[in-house]
Amino acid sequence: MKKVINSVIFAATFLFINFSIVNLTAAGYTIVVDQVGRKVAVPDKVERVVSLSPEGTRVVIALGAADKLVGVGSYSQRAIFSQYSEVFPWGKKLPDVGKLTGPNMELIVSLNPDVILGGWSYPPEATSLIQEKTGIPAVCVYTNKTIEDTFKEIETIGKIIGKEKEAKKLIAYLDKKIAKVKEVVLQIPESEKRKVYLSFWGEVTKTPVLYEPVDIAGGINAASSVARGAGGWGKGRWGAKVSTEQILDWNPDVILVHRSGSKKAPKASVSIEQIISEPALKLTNAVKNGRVYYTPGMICGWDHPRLFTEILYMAKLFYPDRFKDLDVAKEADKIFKKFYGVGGLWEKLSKRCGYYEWE
Amino acid sequence: MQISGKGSQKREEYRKFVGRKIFFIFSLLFVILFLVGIATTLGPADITILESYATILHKFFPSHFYVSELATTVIWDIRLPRVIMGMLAGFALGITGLVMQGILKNPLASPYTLGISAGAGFGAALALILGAGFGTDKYLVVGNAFIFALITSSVIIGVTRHRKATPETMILAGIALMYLFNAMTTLLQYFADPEEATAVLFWMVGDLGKVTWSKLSVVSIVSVCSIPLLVWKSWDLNVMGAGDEVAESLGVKVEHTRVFIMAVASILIASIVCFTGTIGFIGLVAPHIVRIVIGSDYRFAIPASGITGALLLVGADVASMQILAPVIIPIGVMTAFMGVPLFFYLIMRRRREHF
Repeated sequence: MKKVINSVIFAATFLFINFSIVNLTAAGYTIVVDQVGRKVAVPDKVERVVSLSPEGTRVVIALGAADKLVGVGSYSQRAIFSQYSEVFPWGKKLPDVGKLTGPNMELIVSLNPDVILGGWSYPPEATSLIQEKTGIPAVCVYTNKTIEDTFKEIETIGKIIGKEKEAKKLIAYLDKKIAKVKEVVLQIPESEKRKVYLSFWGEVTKTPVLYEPVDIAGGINAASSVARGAGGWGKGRWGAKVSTEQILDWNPDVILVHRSGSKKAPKASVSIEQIISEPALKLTNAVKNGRVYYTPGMICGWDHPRLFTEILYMAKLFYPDRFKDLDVAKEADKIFKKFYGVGGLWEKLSKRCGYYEWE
Repeated sequence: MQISGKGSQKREEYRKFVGRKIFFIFSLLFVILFLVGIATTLGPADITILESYATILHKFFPSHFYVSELATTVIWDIRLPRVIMGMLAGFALGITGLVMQGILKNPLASPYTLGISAGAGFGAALALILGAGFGTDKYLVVGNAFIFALITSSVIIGVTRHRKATPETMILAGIALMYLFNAMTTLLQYFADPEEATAVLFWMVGDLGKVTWSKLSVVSIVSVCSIPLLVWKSWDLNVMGAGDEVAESLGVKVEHTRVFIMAVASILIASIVCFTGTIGFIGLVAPHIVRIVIGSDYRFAIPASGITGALLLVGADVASMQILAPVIIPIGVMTAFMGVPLFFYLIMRRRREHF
């Protein structure tokens, strides 16, 4: 008898759960396909957002929905709110829900968000697990280090938080900026293209084999001959460690040194002086002609305004004659304003990091 | 008559055994020279074998050889420092591993298991993640690694002032410190940016590519000062192998010797590790290879273990540069990949027990 009752209860609960899912997808919910291909039912009206990755947080702010953020991951605190503390004084007050793939689930639940924006989800199940444990829809959004996915990220977030129009406008704006660069680059004959070596991740010999801003700006990434995935690390294994002799053999025309402007530990990162004084590199064209510069690169994923500014910045560094009319500082200021709503950010950042400044 | 005949026969055997040891050492020397000769000709830059050697000789006989600027930079600034550092580091790692195993009478003793590498790693992590520590600018990581490696061994030695300097005390203290420093490094990495965390990881797996002549000179000076001190103690080590009581009765101050060797070996290893990062396994495996082949008479085992270590490290470095070229496989990983099969082979084949 007891067994029967139990199974009846079980069946009833089962049916109820099933019905509720059907109901959820039917009324007031939309299915969103996120950037790792998961289908997630997200409420139509999203008022409260927890964003685990800095990339997601940046886009939410850029789309004018900063007031919807009720909690952010640790890296958001570090890479956005302390970087631009003058712009986002309220950022410090947002609860820190912890690491991207292992956040404090209990805290998230207590914040009662409508949706969780996850990041590049490593391992892939990480975001699904967060969703399962909290019962709150969790969506993977990330730039994946390509412009295409960056646009897709903006689009997806726009769709989720009800800012589709703003997202479309922002993408069109950014697309136009790139298009202008591409137009000029198209006219540069292959023989005149600059070979570029990128020194990333705080070491002279660590380099990304794939870095789209360089390609768009018309440069040839010296390390692009290293197949993506042939050794290396990072998501998509796009980083490689090579020897100084290899760099010398590539003989780049320009060397760019990653300087994200992280306020911590600037001592441990590579400096231009270090590249110039490296005996093995003194014979490269870049060092001979004094063409070694800092570049924004990434900081906990891509900082979107920095990414698009970097493309313009690189274009002018590679081909100063062809981009005579391009005023990087002015354009950068506009792009930063578009994202964070405040002027003067690039100038401050540029001073702090020692980026090249044109007269 | 018969007795003395037996004696001379034994003496003859012993002389043969010594001859075999010397032969082993010299053949290792020959192999390493050969390997270094190959290593200097390998690399991505387009330089022929003849040109490589001409560039080396050019430094000594400038009027006889004419070489390009590119070749000079590649050979003298990139390849030679790397190869020489590989030899020196391997030599030092092999020797320190051997004497540490000797004084601690433990086949597992090495700079790794005694927490010295873990200490250095924590020092480096502190510099890489928090930017804090001893030394300025580009010597921050190096200075920190050096100091923390020495702190580890000072604590171990400090413990022996209160407890008798027995092998157990020292090993247990070392292992405790290893766990402590590893935990602290993990904690730093946990709260660090992903980029900083990977920087620490990269430091931990070792890198010979950052070596310059000035760093080499520091390492050479420390090696030249400390290695003879270890060799000088080799007879004491031999006696200690028979047990502490026997050694005491023969006039060896066992505890004093133990602390002395520990201190010298730590300084040597700290000076290497702080420049190259933690390169594991060589300090453990080179001494065993030598013991298995020529026994544990320290007068011969010390140089042999050093050369074996150098051979393993230079060989691993060449392989790490070539296998996935131009991508470099971390040297700390490569030493294990190359050393483990060899080690297994020798364990299966060995006939004597050494500990």
